Amino acid sequence: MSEPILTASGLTKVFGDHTAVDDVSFALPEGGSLAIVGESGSGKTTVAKLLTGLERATAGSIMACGRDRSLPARSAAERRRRGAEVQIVFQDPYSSLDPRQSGADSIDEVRRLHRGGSRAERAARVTELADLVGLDNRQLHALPRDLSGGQRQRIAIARALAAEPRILVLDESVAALDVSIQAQILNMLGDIRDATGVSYILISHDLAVVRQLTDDAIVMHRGRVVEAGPTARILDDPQEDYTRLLRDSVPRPGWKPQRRQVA
Amino acid sequence: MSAMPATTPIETVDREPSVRGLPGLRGTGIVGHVCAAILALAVLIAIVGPLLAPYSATEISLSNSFVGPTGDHYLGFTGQGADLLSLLLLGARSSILGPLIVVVAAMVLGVVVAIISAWRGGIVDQVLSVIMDVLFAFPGILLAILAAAVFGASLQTAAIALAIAYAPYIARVLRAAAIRERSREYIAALEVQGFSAWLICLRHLVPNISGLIVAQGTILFGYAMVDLAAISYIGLGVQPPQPDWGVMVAQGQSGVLQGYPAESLAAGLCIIIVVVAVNLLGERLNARSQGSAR
Ligand SMILES: Nc1ncnc2c1ncn2[C@@H]1O[C@H](COP(=O)(O)OP(=O)(O)OP(=O)(O)O)[C@@H](O)[C@H]1O
Ligand SMILES: [Mg+2]
Repeated sequence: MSEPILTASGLTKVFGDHTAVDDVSFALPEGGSLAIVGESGSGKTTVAKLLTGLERATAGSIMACGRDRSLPARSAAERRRRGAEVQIVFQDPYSSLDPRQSGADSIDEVRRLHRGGSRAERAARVTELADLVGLDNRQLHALPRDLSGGQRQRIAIARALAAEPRILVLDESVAALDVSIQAQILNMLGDIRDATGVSYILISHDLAVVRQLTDDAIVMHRGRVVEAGPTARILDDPQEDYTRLLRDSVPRPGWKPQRRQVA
Repeated sequence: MSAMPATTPIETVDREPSVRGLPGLRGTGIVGHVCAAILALAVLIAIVGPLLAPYSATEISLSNSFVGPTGDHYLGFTGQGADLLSLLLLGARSSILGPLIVVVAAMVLGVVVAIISAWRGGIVDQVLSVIMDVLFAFPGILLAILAAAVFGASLQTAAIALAIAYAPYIARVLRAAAIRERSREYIAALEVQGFSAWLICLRHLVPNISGLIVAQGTILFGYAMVDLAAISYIGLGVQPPQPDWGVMVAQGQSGVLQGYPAESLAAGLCIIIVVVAVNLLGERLNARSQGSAR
């Protein structure tokens, strides 16, 4: 296998006296997809923020596309280059778009920053991206408040893809949507991967989603990686009690509430 | 506000133009619209007052002192024998311009401090907050009196002093809103894209709190007008013979004692009307900006 497109080694993030991420390491192969699963508060979002430079790691290093991004970007050019390498889609469709800006405008703004081009070229590209995420012309030009959560997330995904990143981090990006829309967007993400070759980091507590979309997975618990490996193996044959607990705590048909034995 | 760049030229048909640009008067009700009309009229008079005034401020004849309304002089004369209506029309300019200087200067200062505080957080925020708290302790009028003592009494000096005294108040209100806005994920998304902090603030953060900025500025205008009138009243603001409502209230004083209160009353009424209109409008804009905080 070729050089991983993203490598995290010994990532640690301490907030005050609380260690949110504790010595986390993983690698994402080019064109691959890696799931990060774990209960609420286990540090998944913090990892995403470290990867995208929104938080600075207390210790450890991150390599993306062959470049180190452990420290804050020093120049505007460096900042832009990082933006064109790793992008993120957040969970909350209601706050992830500027309320005063249509999808077309926000995608165009990103295109202008990263790729430039004439107005007509950019417009053509905006339309292309809208097609890719399944937005029609009205939705593309509407303000966020006139759109549904699913439509907003499509815009957020298109905006993240506008810079043509090599890696896309999805932090519970479909969790707030209803199930049928979730399925649509997940299918779309699969298609986008085939079309663009982008690699995914998928953060989710929904193991069905994880199974559908990812090749590998890491399981986080209290900031630490407790299990790592191919997604199918982890879900079908978990080696750790915590992973088993996580898997078995997902309601399924025939599932009955019972007291949980917390380790 | 042209903060939003004109971008994609594709089809812009079904875009609502009203929600972009300056927040209008939507949702302020009939009172808001009436107040806005009054203010528009006041501003118009401030601009074209000198053209409308039938007489000049210096056409004085002491023999007309305290003469009541006549056919040519609809409001009669002041104690010094000037045409009262003309003085009111001429005085509108400095009476409106003064508070406007205060508002613009205080808002610029307040917005900049609030944005820096919200964006940087941590120690920068703490230091700025302490400085603002210290400044906050100075009453505006006191600062204006000190400034007049040091730099000489004038409208500009008084206005700048008031702006500095009010800026901490504005900064405090806007800081909270800016922090709220800064924590929204679209700001983080822009950071990840690689946009510079100042560009994100200018193009996204500030426009998204512009409703509150306009509301606070409107309310501040009322305060500034009263304070400036008071400062002019005690002789440390606009200097006579430059016409000004605050000065008129002061100069009409002797008339009040002699049973001719027209000058003080008329000028005071102008101040009150504008201040009440601006306050009612400001409160409504403020309520709206809070209500629409998604
Ligand atoms: N800025 C911060 N300051 C202090 N503590 C923080 C901060 N951000 C996160 N934490 C803490 O770090 C821990 C991990 O948070 P994180 O958001 O990464 O969890 P998560 O796995 O994404 O949870 P969820 O599934 O609920 O989104 C939590 O205990 C949280 O309270
Ligand atoms: Mg999270």
